[in-house]
Amino acid sequence: MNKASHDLDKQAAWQKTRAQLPWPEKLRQAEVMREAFVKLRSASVSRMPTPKRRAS
Amino acid sequence: MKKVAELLNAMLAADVIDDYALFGAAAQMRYTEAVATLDADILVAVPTSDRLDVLSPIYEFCASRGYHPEGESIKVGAWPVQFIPTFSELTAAAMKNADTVDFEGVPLRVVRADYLATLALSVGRAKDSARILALLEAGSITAERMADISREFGLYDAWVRFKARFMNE
Repeated sequence: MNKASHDLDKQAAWQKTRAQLPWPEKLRQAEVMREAFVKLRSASVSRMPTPKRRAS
Repeated sequence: MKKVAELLNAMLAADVIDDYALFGAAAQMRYTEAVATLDADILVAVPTSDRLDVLSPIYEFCASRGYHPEGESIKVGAWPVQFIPTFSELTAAAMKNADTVDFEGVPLRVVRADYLATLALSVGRAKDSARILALLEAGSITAERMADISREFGLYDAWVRFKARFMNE
Protein backbone atom coordinates (compact mmCIF):
# COMPACT_ATOMS: atom_id res chain seq x y z
CA MET A 1 0.00 0.00 0.00
CA ASN A 2 1.46 3.38 -0.98
CA LYS A 3 1.42 6.38 1.32
CA ALA A 4 -1.39 8.18 -0.52
CA SER A 5 -3.80 5.27 -0.23
CA HIS A 6 -2.78 4.76 3.43
CA ASP A 7 -3.59 8.43 4.10
CA LEU A 8 -6.93 8.14 2.29
CA ASP A 9 -7.83 5.08 4.36
CA LYS A 10 -6.95 6.98 7.53
CA GLN A 11 -9.11 9.90 6.41
CA ALA A 12 -12.03 7.55 5.60
CA ALA A 13 -11.73 5.93 9.03
CA TRP A 14 -11.70 9.36 10.69
CA GLN A 15 -14.78 10.42 8.70
CA LYS A 16 -16.58 7.29 9.87
CA THR A 17 -15.96 8.21 13.50
CA ARG A 18 -17.80 11.50 12.85
CA ALA A 19 -20.91 9.51 11.99
CA GLN A 20 -20.77 8.03 15.52
CA LEU A 21 -21.06 11.44 17.21
CA PRO A 22 -24.30 12.10 19.14
CA TRP A 23 -27.11 13.36 16.90
CA PRO A 24 -27.44 16.74 18.71
CA GLU A 25 -23.73 17.34 18.12
CA LYS A 26 -24.11 16.56 14.40
CA LEU A 27 -27.04 18.98 14.21
CA ARG A 28 -24.87 21.66 15.84
CA GLN A 29 -22.20 20.97 13.19
CA ALA A 30 -24.88 21.37 10.51
CA GLU A 31 -25.81 24.78 11.98
CA VAL A 32 -22.18 25.90 11.62
CA MET A 33 -22.04 24.49 8.07
CA ARG A 34 -25.24 26.30 7.14
CA GLU A 35 -23.79 29.63 8.27
CA ALA A 36 -20.70 29.07 6.13
CA PHE A 37 -22.84 27.83 3.24
CA VAL A 38 -25.05 30.93 3.30
CA LYS A 39 -21.97 33.19 3.37
CA LEU A 40 -20.40 31.32 0.45
CA ARG A 41 -23.57 31.70 -1.58
CA SER A 42 -23.80 35.42 -0.96
CA ALA A 43 -22.88 37.66 -3.90
CA SER A 44 -20.29 39.60 -1.92
CA VAL A 45 -18.03 36.56 -1.71
CA SER A 46 -17.75 36.16 -5.47
CA ARG A 47 -16.89 39.85 -5.85
CA MET A 48 -13.78 39.72 -3.66
CA PRO A 49 -10.51 40.46 -5.48
CA THR A 50 -8.32 37.41 -6.02
CA PRO A 51 -5.44 37.35 -3.52
CA LYS A 52 -2.05 37.82 -5.14
CA ARG A 53 1.24 36.10 -4.31
CA ARG A 54 3.88 38.31 -2.79
CA ALA A 55 6.68 38.99 -5.31
CA SER A 56 9.84 37.23 -4.15
CA MET B 1 -33.62 21.54 17.53
CA LYS B 2 -34.77 21.16 21.14
CA LYS B 3 -36.94 24.29 20.69
CA VAL B 4 -38.38 22.76 17.51
CA ALA B 5 -39.23 19.56 19.41
CA GLU B 6 -40.89 21.54 22.22
CA LEU B 7 -42.93 23.57 19.72
CA LEU B 8 -44.09 20.46 17.84
CA ASN B 9 -45.08 18.69 21.05
CA ALA B 10 -47.02 21.78 22.16
CA MET B 11 -48.84 21.79 18.80
CA LEU B 12 -49.79 18.15 19.35
CA ALA B 13 -51.03 18.86 22.88
CA ALA B 14 -53.14 21.77 21.58
CA ASP B 15 -54.65 19.61 18.78
CA VAL B 16 -53.25 21.95 16.13
CA ILE B 17 -51.74 18.88 14.48
CA ASP B 18 -52.55 15.17 14.77
CA ASP B 19 -48.97 13.96 14.30
CA TYR B 20 -45.57 15.09 13.04
CA ALA B 21 -42.16 13.70 12.13
CA LEU B 22 -38.86 15.33 11.27
CA PHE B 23 -37.43 14.14 7.94
CA GLY B 24 -34.86 15.25 5.36
CA ALA B 25 -31.21 16.00 6.07
CA ALA B 26 -31.68 16.75 9.78
CA ALA B 27 -33.23 13.30 10.27
CA GLN B 28 -30.58 11.64 8.09
CA MET B 29 -27.89 12.86 10.51
CA ARG B 30 -29.12 10.43 13.13
CA TYR B 31 -27.41 7.78 11.03
CA THR B 32 -24.66 9.51 9.05
CA GLU B 33 -22.08 12.20 9.59
CA ALA B 34 -23.28 15.83 9.62
CA VAL B 35 -24.36 17.22 6.26
CA ALA B 36 -25.03 20.77 5.11
CA THR B 37 -28.71 21.69 5.19
CA LEU B 38 -30.61 24.94 5.16
CA ASP B 39 -33.71 23.97 7.11
CA ALA B 40 -35.57 21.40 9.17
CA ASP B 41 -38.36 19.63 7.25
CA ILE B 42 -41.38 18.47 9.25
CA LEU B 43 -44.13 16.21 7.96
CA VAL B 44 -47.41 17.11 9.65
CA ALA B 45 -50.89 15.62 9.77
CA VAL B 46 -53.47 18.35 10.24
CA PRO B 47 -57.00 17.73 11.53
CA THR B 48 -59.51 17.46 8.68
CA SER B 49 -60.36 20.94 7.58
CA ASP B 50 -62.23 22.65 4.79
CA ARG B 51 -59.76 25.50 4.88
CA LEU B 52 -57.83 26.04 1.68
CA ASP B 53 -54.69 26.92 3.60
CA VAL B 54 -54.21 23.91 5.84
CA LEU B 55 -51.05 25.36 7.35
CA SER B 56 -52.74 28.52 8.71
CA PRO B 57 -53.45 27.07 12.19
CA ILE B 58 -49.78 26.00 12.43
CA TYR B 59 -48.54 29.46 11.46
CA GLU B 60 -50.98 31.08 13.90
CA PHE B 61 -49.81 28.79 16.71
CA CYS B 62 -46.17 29.57 15.93
CA ALA B 63 -46.91 33.32 15.93
CA SER B 64 -48.59 33.00 19.34
CA ARG B 65 -45.31 31.53 20.61
CA GLY B 66 -43.22 34.29 19.06
CA TYR B 67 -42.04 32.37 16.00
CA HIS B 68 -42.68 34.18 12.74
CA PRO B 69 -42.35 33.30 9.05
CA GLU B 70 -39.13 34.03 7.19
CA GLY B 71 -39.79 33.34 3.54
CA GLU B 72 -41.12 29.80 3.14
CA SER B 73 -40.21 28.74 6.66
CA ILE B 74 -40.63 29.67 10.31
CA LYS B 75 -37.47 30.43 12.26
CA VAL B 76 -37.39 28.42 15.50
CA GLY B 77 -34.16 29.00 17.40
CA ALA B 78 -31.33 28.28 14.97
CA TRP B 79 -33.54 26.36 12.53
CA PRO B 80 -35.75 27.59 9.70
CA VAL B 81 -38.61 25.05 9.86
CA GLN B 82 -40.69 23.98 6.88
CA PHE B 83 -44.02 22.28 7.52
CA ILE B 84 -45.15 19.84 4.84
CA PRO B 85 -48.60 18.24 5.15
CA THR B 86 -48.53 14.52 4.34
CA PHE B 87 -49.51 14.24 0.69
CA SER B 88 -49.22 10.56 -0.20
CA GLU B 89 -49.45 7.03 1.18
CA LEU B 90 -45.66 7.04 1.55
CA THR B 91 -45.41 10.29 3.52
CA ALA B 92 -48.31 9.19 5.76
CA ALA B 93 -46.61 5.84 6.45
CA ALA B 94 -43.24 7.55 7.07
CA MET B 95 -44.87 9.72 9.72
CA LYS B 96 -46.95 6.94 11.27
CA ASN B 97 -43.91 4.65 11.62
CA ALA B 98 -41.56 7.37 12.88
CA ASP B 99 -39.37 6.76 15.94
CA THR B 100 -39.92 8.85 19.04
CA VAL B 101 -36.44 9.68 20.27
CA ASP B 102 -35.12 11.51 23.31
CA PHE B 103 -33.65 14.78 22.10
CA GLU B 104 -31.83 16.30 25.07
CA GLY B 105 -34.72 15.33 27.35
CA VAL B 106 -37.53 16.21 24.93
CA PRO B 107 -39.42 13.61 22.85
CA LEU B 108 -39.02 14.18 19.12
CA ARG B 109 -40.61 12.12 16.34
CA VAL B 110 -38.20 11.32 13.53
CA VAL B 111 -38.71 9.43 10.28
CA ARG B 112 -36.81 6.10 10.22
CA ALA B 113 -33.89 5.42 7.90
CA ASP B 114 -35.81 3.06 5.58
CA TYR B 115 -38.56 5.64 5.04
CA LEU B 116 -36.02 8.46 4.66
CA ALA B 117 -34.35 6.49 1.87
CA THR B 118 -37.68 5.66 0.22
CA LEU B 119 -38.78 9.30 0.33
CA ALA B 120 -35.44 10.21 -1.26
CA LEU B 121 -35.99 7.53 -3.90
CA SER B 122 -39.41 8.98 -4.71
CA VAL B 123 -37.94 12.47 -5.27
CA GLY B 124 -34.84 11.37 -7.17
CA ARG B 125 -32.61 14.47 -7.23
CA ALA B 126 -28.83 14.10 -7.03
CA LYS B 127 -28.84 14.98 -3.32
CA ASP B 128 -31.52 12.35 -2.72
CA SER B 129 -29.34 9.69 -4.34
CA ALA B 130 -26.48 10.84 -2.12
CA ARG B 131 -28.76 10.43 0.91
CA ILE B 132 -29.63 6.84 -0.02
CA LEU B 133 -25.95 6.01 -0.56
CA ALA B 134 -25.00 7.59 2.78
CA LEU B 135 -27.66 5.57 4.61
CA LEU B 136 -26.54 2.37 2.87
CA GLU B 137 -22.90 3.08 3.73
CA ALA B 138 -23.83 3.75 7.36
CA GLY B 139 -25.53 0.35 7.48
CA SER B 140 -28.83 1.96 8.52
CA ILE B 141 -30.65 0.40 5.55
CA THR B 142 -29.98 -2.66 3.43
CA ALA B 143 -30.58 -3.31 -0.26
CA GLU B 144 -33.01 -6.07 0.74
CA ARG B 145 -35.10 -3.71 2.90
CA MET B 146 -35.07 -1.12 0.10
CA ALA B 147 -36.33 -3.71 -2.38
CA ASP B 148 -39.21 -4.60 -0.04
CA ILE B 149 -40.25 -1.10 0.94
CA SER B 150 -39.92 0.32 -2.58
CA ARG B 151 -42.18 -2.49 -3.83
CA GLU B 152 -44.73 -1.61 -1.13
CA PHE B 153 -44.97 1.99 -2.38
CA GLY B 154 -44.77 1.37 -6.13
CA LEU B 155 -41.15 2.50 -6.38
CA TYR B 156 -39.48 -0.82 -7.19
CA ASP B 157 -38.56 0.26 -10.75
CA ALA B 158 -36.93 3.39 -9.33
CA TRP B 159 -34.97 1.21 -6.89
CA VAL B 160 -33.80 -1.09 -9.69
CA ARG B 161 -32.63 1.95 -11.69
CA PHE B 162 -30.88 3.35 -8.61
CA LYS B 163 -29.07 0.05 -8.04
CA ALA B 164 -28.01 -0.20 -11.69
CA ARG B 165 -26.66 3.34 -11.60
CA PHE B 166 -24.94 3.46 -8.23
CA MET B 167 -24.43 -0.07 -6.94
CA ASN B 168 -22.94 -1.93 -9.89
CA GLU B 169 -19.73 -3.14 -8.31
